[in-house]
Amino acid sequence: MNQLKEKFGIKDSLAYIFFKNPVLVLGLVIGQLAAGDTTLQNGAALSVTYFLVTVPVLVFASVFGKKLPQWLRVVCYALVSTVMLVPAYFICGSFSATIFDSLGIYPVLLAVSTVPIVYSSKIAENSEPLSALMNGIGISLGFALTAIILGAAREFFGSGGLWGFKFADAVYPAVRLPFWGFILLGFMAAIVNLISEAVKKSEETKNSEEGNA
Amino acid sequence: MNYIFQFLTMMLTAVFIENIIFTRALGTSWMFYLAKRPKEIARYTLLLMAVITLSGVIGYPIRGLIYDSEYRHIVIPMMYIGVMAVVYIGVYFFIKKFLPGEFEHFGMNLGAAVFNCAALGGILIPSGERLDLISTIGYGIGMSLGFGFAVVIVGYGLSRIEYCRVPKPFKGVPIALIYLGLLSLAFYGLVGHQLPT
Repeated sequence: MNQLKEKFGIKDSLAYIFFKNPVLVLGLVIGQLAAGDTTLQNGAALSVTYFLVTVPVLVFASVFGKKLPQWLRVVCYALVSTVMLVPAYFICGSFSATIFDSLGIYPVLLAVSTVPIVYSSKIAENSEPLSALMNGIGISLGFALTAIILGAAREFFGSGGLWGFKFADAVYPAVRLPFWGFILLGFMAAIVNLISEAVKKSEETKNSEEGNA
Repeated sequence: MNYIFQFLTMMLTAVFIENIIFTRALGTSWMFYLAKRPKEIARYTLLLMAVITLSGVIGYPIRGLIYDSEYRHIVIPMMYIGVMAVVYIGVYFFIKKFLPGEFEHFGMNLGAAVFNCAALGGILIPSGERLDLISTIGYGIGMSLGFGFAVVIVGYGLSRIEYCRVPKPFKGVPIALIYLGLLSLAFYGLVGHQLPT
């Protein structure tokens, strides 16, 4: 099972969900979450959009990247991710007709975020398609985890509800402003660091105990 | 004279009141990358300015044709990304031919320096507000200057934080985000906003 995981890069891909989280550990795609992810619905819409713009570009880069001239590669990656905004627009529209309007420019900016543009050029081009696919899924799940937790927390404290259903008075409406997004993401990143450190320590202890035995 | 005043007003608005990083939160990952490389800030700010201005000007007449479309929230960004692709190709070959030293310096980063959230955001915001051509250019130049300004402030702050005793879990990305949040809050108050209650 472990060999299978290593062969398809599943182990590395799973790490993107938490221990190498693209937002909280690698510091990517911060702006869209800090400014746009103010409700649970927004978080879900951004997650769906991110999945749809990221995974196909990474697979495209691993299959065609090296066959294209250098100057054309980034253009193709940007265009592929842009085309994928169309299904994202209609899928997100199915759970709220005005979600793309209310999110403004933020879902669209995901098409030119770091992973589809930089990661495709520097890493995915040298990967196998299956490995690129798994990495894309891992990165998107990591992003979704952050987006959903942050969106839910900001909606709960900012407007006293979840998924549009209001069940309390707004505790602190300012939590929906971008500066609170940065601060909350900072605290979430610190929690991830704390957990990663604890896991690392427990693994080291386990290994040293096995070595002594 | 009116045009110059309009241009300068939009530029200063974009630099201070609607700063691309502190108010709009656009291009933050790119900012963190540049904050560690102070010598690169001017080069990338100029490139950002060229991309935003050229794409804004080329896309301006096309925007007028498609603005009333039912799907404008998706069609206009797609059009602008297409325009950015054309600008990227132009910039790529221009730098390669006339500034070979700079071309080598940018290397693989040239694509990322053109296609990023700061550039696309700097084009889409004036488009969404239906600004005229003079304001679009002024706003675009102001956005890029505001980006450079934000990178300098954040970079300086982060270099000072390195000498502070930051708790271990907060080292790296967490403290950088919290610092950015506090700066963003300071700008929010500086321009006269009040927190919603």
